[in-house]
Amino acid sequence: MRLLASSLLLFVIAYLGLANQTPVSTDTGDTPARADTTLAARIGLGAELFSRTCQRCHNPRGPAERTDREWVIIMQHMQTRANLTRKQARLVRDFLLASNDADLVPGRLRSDLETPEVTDDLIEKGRLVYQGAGTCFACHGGNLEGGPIAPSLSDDQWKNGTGDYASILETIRNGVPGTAMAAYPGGITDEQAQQVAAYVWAVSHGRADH
Amino acid sequence: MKQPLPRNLSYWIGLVLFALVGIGPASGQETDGPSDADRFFPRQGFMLSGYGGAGYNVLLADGETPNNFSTIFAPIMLFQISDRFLFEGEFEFEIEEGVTATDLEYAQIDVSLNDHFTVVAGKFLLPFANFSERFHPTWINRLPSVPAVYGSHGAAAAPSDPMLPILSDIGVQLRGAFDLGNFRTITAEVFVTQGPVVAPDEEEGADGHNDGEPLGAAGKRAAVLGGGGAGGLAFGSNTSDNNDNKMVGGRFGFSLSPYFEANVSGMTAAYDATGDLNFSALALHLEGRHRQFTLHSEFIRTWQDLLEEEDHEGLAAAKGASATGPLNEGGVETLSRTGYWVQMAYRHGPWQPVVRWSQLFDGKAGGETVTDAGRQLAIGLDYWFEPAFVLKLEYLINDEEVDIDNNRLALQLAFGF
Repeated sequence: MRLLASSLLLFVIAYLGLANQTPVSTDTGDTPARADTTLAARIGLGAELFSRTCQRCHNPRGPAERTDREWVIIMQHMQTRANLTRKQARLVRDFLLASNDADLVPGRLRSDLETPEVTDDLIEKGRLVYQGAGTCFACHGGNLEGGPIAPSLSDDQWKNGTGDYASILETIRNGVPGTAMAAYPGGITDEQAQQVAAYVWAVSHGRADH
Repeated sequence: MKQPLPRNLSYWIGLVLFALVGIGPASGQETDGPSDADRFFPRQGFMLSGYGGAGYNVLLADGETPNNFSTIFAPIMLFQISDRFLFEGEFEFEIEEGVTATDLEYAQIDVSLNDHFTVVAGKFLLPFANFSERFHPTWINRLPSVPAVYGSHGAAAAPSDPMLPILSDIGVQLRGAFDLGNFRTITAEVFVTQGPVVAPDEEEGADGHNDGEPLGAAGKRAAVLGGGGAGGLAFGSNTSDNNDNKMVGGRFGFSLSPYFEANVSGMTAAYDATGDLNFSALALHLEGRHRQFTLHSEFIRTWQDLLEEEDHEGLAAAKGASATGPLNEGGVETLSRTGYWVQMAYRHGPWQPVVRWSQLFDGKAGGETVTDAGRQLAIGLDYWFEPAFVLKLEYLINDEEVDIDNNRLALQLAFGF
């Protein structure tokens, strides 16, 4: 009797799910949405989901560890394992594919805003973005000490760029293809990117504490 | 009496078989086979993933168990059939304390119904608490050992009386996920599986590991309580189910922010041949994150009906004799067990110190202590070479009433691929 009731329950829930089914997608993962306006938002959201969701269980893996095709399969697997909605899984997938695509990320989101002067106010705002919306701490560490997939930002050793303010801002704006470093991580604005750049520059040059 | 086929019918059957076997492949060679567009399931791809590790366990007190190397290799195969259908399977090969164990950890097909629901069928890791389903792989588990409520899986010591194995079973489940925005989510799973059975041979392995292996000393002592014979529970159904009663369970989880997640889960099933003895379990899982701090914990309670004062060769046999009265009122007692574990980790660059506390309380049935209490403190230090490549050092302090001293030092190199 209990088996029958359980089966009925499963059937009803599955039926309700199918009834709400969206049309079958033709997006197999090889062709993530390429419209510039939506891609930036998708990559930003995917980056934020990647940094916040994956590390609930394990260290985030570097995008360059897998091919695009493998990421498509892995994210289908993780949709089930991590209980993601299909939309969430595809946002993360698109972020990973974009991070693997050198032609897709750099320059796409570049802003023409003037480089601001690094002020204490800017540094303090950057600290909040670094530890919050930017999700920078997730990979670079709460004290900028670095982690398994991201370098330290607290010394004068730089894997990308020269370490000056403009170079740091450039990295935040463009991301680093083939790595988890997305352009505008966490979907932050260009103004917030400048704040984070100021904060990272100040800490790495001994002008501020982390 | 068999009648020979009419001569002309044999002719036509032969012709059809010839056409299917002979002509079919020939036509395929000419056309290079159907295109993806013609397939019902356009196949997308295959990839190999998985994890492994090698360890060394040092028993720090005089005991019968010598120091041992251990190793585990668990390849995971993912077959993407389409963007809605995925088949995934994991084998597990493990050598620990001189015993080689092989296992089909899971083999399941995932069918994504829509944005929210996925049906999973086959053998799968049970969505009960979180450790079994998500945290037990060596490159994810922050320590070489598993919490004391679970049986051994990977390396180092297992408690003498684990409450549950790493749970996987055969059946079907429905999984749901709902995004409420701002990283707030609600998740839910319901499942129906074969459920536990009476272990065919409780001496086969008391490590509480996967399939077909008994639930350790809880089962043994259940047998003692019952007067002898087999009494342990086995999950995973290496044997066929022993009754028509399937296990029903579910998990409901919510995350109010990216930094906090909780879920409650439960399952229940009859486990003896006639479906009168029940096993149930409830779990509460909590986890939190704050910058480089992570906290995981699980609180688990189980109830297992036991036969009292029976003289039987097994629970099924005992039930068979119930007509004479041994299972009358008062003939069944319920063993109630409670345990929990809490783990904290802090990440600083490649280093990650970890502390885990596990505690099992006395398991009681009818006022009698059936399984002993135990406490375990695990102190570890991890060094991450890569996001999925880690060297783990652990000092494990066991405080169990049934054992004198089995503190251990464990070293494990683990990787995910």
